[in-house]
Amino acid sequence: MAVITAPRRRTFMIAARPPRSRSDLARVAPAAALVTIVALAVAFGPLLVAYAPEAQSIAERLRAPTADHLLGTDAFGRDVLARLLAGGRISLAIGLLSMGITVLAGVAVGAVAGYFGGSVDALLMRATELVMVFPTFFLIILIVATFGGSVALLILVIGLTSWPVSARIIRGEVLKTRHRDFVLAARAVGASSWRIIARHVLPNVAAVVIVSATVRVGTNILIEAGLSYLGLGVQPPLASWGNMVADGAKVIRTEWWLTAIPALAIFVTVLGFNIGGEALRDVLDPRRRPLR
Amino acid sequence: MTRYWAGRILQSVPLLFFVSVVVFGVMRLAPGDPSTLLADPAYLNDAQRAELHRSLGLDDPLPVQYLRTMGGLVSGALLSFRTGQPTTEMLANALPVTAAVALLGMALAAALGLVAGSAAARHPGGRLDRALGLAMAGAIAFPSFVLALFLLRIFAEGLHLLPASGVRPLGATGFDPLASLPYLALPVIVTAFPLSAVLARYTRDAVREALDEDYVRTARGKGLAPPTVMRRHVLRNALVAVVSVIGTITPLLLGGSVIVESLFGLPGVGRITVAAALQRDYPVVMTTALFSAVLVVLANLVTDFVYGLVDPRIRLA
Repeated sequence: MAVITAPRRRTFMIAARPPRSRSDLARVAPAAALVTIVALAVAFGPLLVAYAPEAQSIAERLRAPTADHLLGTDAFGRDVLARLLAGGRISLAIGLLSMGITVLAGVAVGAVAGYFGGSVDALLMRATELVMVFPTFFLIILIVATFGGSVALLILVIGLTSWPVSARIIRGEVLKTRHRDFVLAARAVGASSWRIIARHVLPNVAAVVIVSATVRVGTNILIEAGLSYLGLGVQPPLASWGNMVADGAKVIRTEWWLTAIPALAIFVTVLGFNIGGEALRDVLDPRRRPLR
Repeated sequence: MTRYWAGRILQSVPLLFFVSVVVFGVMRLAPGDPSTLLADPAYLNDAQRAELHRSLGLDDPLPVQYLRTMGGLVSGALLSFRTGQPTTEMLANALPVTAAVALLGMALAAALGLVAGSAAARHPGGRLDRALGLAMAGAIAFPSFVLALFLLRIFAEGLHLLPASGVRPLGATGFDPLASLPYLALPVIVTAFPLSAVLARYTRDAVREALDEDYVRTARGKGLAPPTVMRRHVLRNALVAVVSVIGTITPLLLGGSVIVESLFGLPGVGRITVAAALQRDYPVVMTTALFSAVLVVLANLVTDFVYGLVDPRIRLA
């Protein structure tokens, strides 16, 4: 008796995608470059700066930028460049890791709900609605103000409050995919549900996941910055862009750049992720390509 | 119709129950004892601390505490640990400020967003569209607390045009919307700034989609003037999408109010909530948290209701 095994190849539908043009690359490139520069700077920059981000020197407080301190020093005489790079590590880590939690939870809930449908779907979607009743930022503030801001808690709370939106988007995409012929074919040759989800359904949902994940990083960095600005997020002396703005705001009348520098870092990074996400959507998801 | 809305309202009861249980749980898991935050532990002996604990009702079993909290909330007899004031009264005092900023901000954002969005949609890919697209992306990525800091520096401290903080002139009491207008100007602008960009985007996409519809071609074909087509056929249809976005965003403004209120020193809901959470003033936190959840539920109901008004094709019952 012939044994039929599921094909090893996964199916990846490229529906009506116009040929990849140079303009696709041109659309993603500026944002990708922006994000890469920021990532490289915060990854390797701290190795090149002579000062420790938390080292205080009262004698050298509030210095304007010089050759010695390229971005000057803050009210505690700490090197601003060192703090900017160290704070960037924390801000980016929080943005990326919390996005990871959001995407994992969103994909898990969305894929299972969308693929299995029926009562599983109903149960999971009711649960999703429950989480959505909480005004997200309000809940985050409540938890962080109650338990105190640690980096791990921030990642967890930001990630776990924002998955319902992802779960809904992914469920919608999975619903569209699950009756496609290649899914039926995989089922016909006896592939298990989990295998079909992992090998056939999810690759086809990947574009939507990547796009929403990219924009999510930017949003989460803004949330972290807002919390840290309020003094509820990353706690000093640990640097984050948000608490650097809060420190700088105390001397904004005279040393305005202490506010402007970390603010610019937040702005550029979030902008990079946001326009990157939109450019990726245009490239990966032809159905939503902007009409011209 | 009535049955439909009654059903929708009944459905929200378990949602609110869930929210109250989670908020109660979060507060009780929290480190820190309210009694030590109310009085300096160094000046209390053990007997006095136990007495304070008992008087706050913290010795009772958790389900009893939960029921008392919820019962008090409904009857208005729930008192703040710290001030002894009824929590509903504290909420009622703080609400006008928060609501004024949120609603005025939303109105300003909707006006700006509709104008910019429909202007951008007129020539997709054109110069104005690209410029506005860039401005919208920038406005969304710009942290609102930074905008607030620089606006304060320029308009309040530099030009002395607007007051920097508070909601009323010195010596005045209560909340007089007219006298407070200059105090609300900056908070409203800061609230509206990122919102207007979000709404402009949704408007642009919605108008863009409506412009491609057959009925627009028909309207043009029968010789209607372009402004008439825009007003009667395009905008009216695009409005449905924009209304739903406004509905879902409005309750979220309560979260953003925390930042705006602390920056501008406004005595609103956001600020009393954070202060209460930091001081473990459980009754106040429960009150504002449930209020915000009610707001989300209500906003969803109102959005669906307005849907029906804006688009008669949508029949809910």
